[in-house]
Amino acid sequence: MASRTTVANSTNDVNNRRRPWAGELVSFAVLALLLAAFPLVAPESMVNVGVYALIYGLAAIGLSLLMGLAGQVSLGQAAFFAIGAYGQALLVTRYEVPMLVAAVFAVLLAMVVALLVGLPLLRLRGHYLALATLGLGIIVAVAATESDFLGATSGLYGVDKPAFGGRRYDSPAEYFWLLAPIVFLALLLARNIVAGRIGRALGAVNDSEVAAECLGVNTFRLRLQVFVLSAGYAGLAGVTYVHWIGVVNPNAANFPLSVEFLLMAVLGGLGSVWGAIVGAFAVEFLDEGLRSVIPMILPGAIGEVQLIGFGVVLTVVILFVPGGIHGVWRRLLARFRRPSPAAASAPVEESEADESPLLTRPDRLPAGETLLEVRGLVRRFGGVTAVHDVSFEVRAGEIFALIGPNGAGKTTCFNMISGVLAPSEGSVWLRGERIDGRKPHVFAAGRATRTFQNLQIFKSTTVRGNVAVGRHLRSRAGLLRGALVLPARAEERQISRSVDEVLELVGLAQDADRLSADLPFGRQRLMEIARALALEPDLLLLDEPMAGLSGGERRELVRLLRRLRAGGMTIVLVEHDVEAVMALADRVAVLDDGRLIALGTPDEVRNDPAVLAAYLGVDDEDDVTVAPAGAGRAASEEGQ
Amino acid sequence: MTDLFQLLLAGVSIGAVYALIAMGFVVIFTVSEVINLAQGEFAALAGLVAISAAGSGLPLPAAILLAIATVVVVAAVMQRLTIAPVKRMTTLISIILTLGVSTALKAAMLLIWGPEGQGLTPFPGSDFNVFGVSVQAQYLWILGVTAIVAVVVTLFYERTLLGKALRACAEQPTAARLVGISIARASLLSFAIAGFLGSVAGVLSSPIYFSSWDSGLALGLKGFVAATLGGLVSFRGAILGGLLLGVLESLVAGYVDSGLRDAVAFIVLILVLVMRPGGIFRQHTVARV
Amino acid sequence: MLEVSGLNAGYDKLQVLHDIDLNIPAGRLVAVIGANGAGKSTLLRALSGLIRPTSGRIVLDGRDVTGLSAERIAAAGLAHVPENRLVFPSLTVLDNLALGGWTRRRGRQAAARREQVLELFPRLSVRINQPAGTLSGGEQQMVAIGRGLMAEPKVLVLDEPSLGLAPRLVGEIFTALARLKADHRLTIVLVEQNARAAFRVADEVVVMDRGRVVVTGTPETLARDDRVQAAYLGGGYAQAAS
Repeated sequence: MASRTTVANSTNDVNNRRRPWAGELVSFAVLALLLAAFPLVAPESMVNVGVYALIYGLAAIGLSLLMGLAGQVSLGQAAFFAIGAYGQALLVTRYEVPMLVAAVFAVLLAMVVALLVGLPLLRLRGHYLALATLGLGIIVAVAATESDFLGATSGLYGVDKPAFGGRRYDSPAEYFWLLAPIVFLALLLARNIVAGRIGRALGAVNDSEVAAECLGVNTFRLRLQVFVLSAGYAGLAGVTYVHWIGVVNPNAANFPLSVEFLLMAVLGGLGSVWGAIVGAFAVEFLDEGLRSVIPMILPGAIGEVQLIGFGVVLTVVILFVPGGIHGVWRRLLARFRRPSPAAASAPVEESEADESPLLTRPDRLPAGETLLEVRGLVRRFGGVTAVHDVSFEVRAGEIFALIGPNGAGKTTCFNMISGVLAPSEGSVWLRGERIDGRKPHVFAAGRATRTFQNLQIFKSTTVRGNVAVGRHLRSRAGLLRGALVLPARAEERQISRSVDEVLELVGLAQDADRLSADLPFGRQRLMEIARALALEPDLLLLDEPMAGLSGGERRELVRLLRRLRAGGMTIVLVEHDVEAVMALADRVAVLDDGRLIALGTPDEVRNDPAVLAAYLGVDDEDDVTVAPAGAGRAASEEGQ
Repeated sequence: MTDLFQLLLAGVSIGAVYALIAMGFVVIFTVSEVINLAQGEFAALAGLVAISAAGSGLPLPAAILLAIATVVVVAAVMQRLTIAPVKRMTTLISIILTLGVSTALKAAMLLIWGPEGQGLTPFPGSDFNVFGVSVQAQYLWILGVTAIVAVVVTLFYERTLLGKALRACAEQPTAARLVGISIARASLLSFAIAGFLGSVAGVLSSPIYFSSWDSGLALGLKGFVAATLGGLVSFRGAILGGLLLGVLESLVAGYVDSGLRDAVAFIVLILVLVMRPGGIFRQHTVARV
Repeated sequence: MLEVSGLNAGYDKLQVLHDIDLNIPAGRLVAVIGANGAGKSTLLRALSGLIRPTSGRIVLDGRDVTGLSAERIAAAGLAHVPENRLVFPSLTVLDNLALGGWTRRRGRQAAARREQVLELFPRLSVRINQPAGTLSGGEQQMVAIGRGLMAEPKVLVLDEPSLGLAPRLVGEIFTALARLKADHRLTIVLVEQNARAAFRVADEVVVMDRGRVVVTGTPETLARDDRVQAAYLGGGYAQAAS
């Protein structure tokens, strides 16, 4: 059920936490230097183009955040740009509001409009936001043209060039120097968001939305925040624009400008914020070049002729260099860097029979009280009923197993309990609170999470990056704190420590910095469990945790689950390995054909005739019987 | 009252154009989950080609056929060059790709035909009055041809094995491949059909609404809104959505403010997505194309 | 009829199948069993071209089909009845069957083939003009098998046809498979979780564990094997074998 709203893989490289911050620091220093030196070395006409690159680049950074993090695209970034510009012009010329105060309101205005547009649309698939923002661009242009208050077709004019301390910034070079620090700061903030808690969570969403939600990531809310922020960047661009050229007219909201912003972000590399600025310079010079070259080749060509280049470059970049300039740059760098030796995963060492409790937590429900209750669950898919009137309760501190033949409805039950699917009928209660039909992040907020039968790993990041997403709810840095690097730093260190502890627990410490996609299947399964444990849940749902694990890993996992139970955690597992279940679970529920056919202790269930018939397919003949307990077999393998 | 009928007639006629474009969106979306942002450009291009062809002395029917053929080829080439090579199509990539093509097409039209809008010679027939409502012959052409095309396309999808194969690709791509249907060819065919629908919309609308290099932008957006009204996967929904949107626009322009015409589509889109994201005629899903 | 040698395949970087060798003579019914995640479905997906093998060879009736697309392999005579049936829900049973014969000549032969399918699954006759999505799970399975048969395949491969079906329907479907083998000498590869049902109809059983073929043999000999029981009861063959 992977989300189709994923981005090109290169995008999530940003979240690949193997990259040291130091390397990026160099990039930023180089960029700062280049920006400072540009007006000194370039001729004035080029500096003038550079000013536009900086202005438009701001809007492109916002778009890059939106595409890279939220996996959504706006075709109306120019609308927010125009709103910012009109807002600023109105406040400064009509009401004589001081420039900086006006700028704050103008940017806020763009963000409020984005909030209103994003609220209904960001729950839906990406097409709708794209087309609706395209429509927004048309609306803003229409509104501006129709409104005498906004100066109709001639727009608003008479906005002064900024002056601070008696100094007027009216030459291209001076305006460039005024803008450069603003753009640089905007870049830094955006970069911190990408690399921090929010970026990590949304990067995870792009890999597997359902897994991220089950770890407590509220996808919709974060996407909305990023969309609003991206509109803020566009609004700021509008403000700086109107102070430079002094006029704003309905053309500011025009579709070609939105395409231009999009091209900058795509050319720079989706999700790469500094790429957006590089892209902005490239596109502005391309624009300049095309406008002068095309009329030479085709005499009489007038209007937005540069669009031909934009369209072609956009298509070619997405087809052939989907990572954009950022992606090319990274590949070049990688060529010079020594490939890091792939850490061979050491076999799991069997620890001594340590049975001490793990991950205890003081305010858990007392053992034996009802933690989870499922009443009359029904789920139909089309005409087929997959789950038919299933009820049971899970008590705090027990290991509860759900078994049954393939297709019996076990995973469907899990999906309904964890909020991935809404039941057709019936209810789910967690600590006495009804949670069915809510999203998985609500389940996670109730300190309950799950793993997946068909693994849902975040494959564009490392093992550590995966488990860190599990800390999402145990950390707090939002957009603002994440953007300002200092307060978030301490929290990041804290997350890193917790992640190490959990990895140690499941025996993945030596794989911490490997790309999760490179891990063998069994290790990926353990990583999913580690990721779930990082949430410090009270209730843990495991969907076939043993599948794909070797004998040694299975025994380690069984021991881990016992220790977690000793620590007070409640565990519900769906499992095919009957013997493992019988040896581990306190109570077992058996599903067959969507119905609950037995519920009791392992011994009761093992001898239930209905279970034998359904699960093992035994009916009249009996040459296939239940195998004796697997413990003996397992023990014999230790001799290898 | 006469005003109302006049507005309704104008609304239904532009609505039929939106319906054709909306059907183009549906054709491509159901097979490859791509929203083709160049769908409006197909219409603009057809209009401009027909105008030039007719202007160079070709008889009108030949000019129209030439325009339709040109756009079908352009649509097929677009699929081969930009959609087919992508291994893992995501929503984001599909939007950017088709936007790139749409932008390039727009600019190419600007370079060839210049910035001014032009209208194709009206189709034969004389305008007349019924109870004070003036009826342009072109309105009847639009309604009649749209009705025929809609019926033919619907029959194609519901009655022919090829049409059913396209639906199979849309519903169960894996199973479609397992019975030997090539998804790549199905996608190519769907682009050609969408090109046909867009070009018919373009030549029909050009005499009244004109064609220009950027007229595809609003047409495309409105076609999309119409398709969304119908849930994006249903022809009947798309047709009804187009007519509804056209009438609504016409009424708003007539009774409220003609400048607000283009705002209607956007507001309708937002309202539909807030209240009924599955389309307003929800019972029509892929199940009944 | 179907020869597989040294087949390796998987998804992205994850290798699922390791060096699979199989030789399936014409007119035999071979059941592939094994625990969840053993690679049974992946094997079928590699056979029918849904995933491209990384190495190895697949020869169908003397023709090398390795690396061909699913469409080409279907045309070459291998019909894959996928897991969860995947009927075309909005199309009628009749249309589902007609599309099954997409790669074959239409007309009178197609009608004859359809008659055979309806004779095999009489309950489809009454549903013939109903959208396949409105049928019960068992009937959908019959449509899916019928759709496969419409291509007049040389080899029919089925992925868990008993999944989620009531026991009576499982019986009906397995009876049909047995008839296909006996009356039409069709070569059949069957992946099954319901090993008991599979054992009854199979000429030969292949046990898979962790992407490898670990043992093959007749149902009679394997039914008495402890390790085989463990393999499909879930403990994993390798664990049991040691």
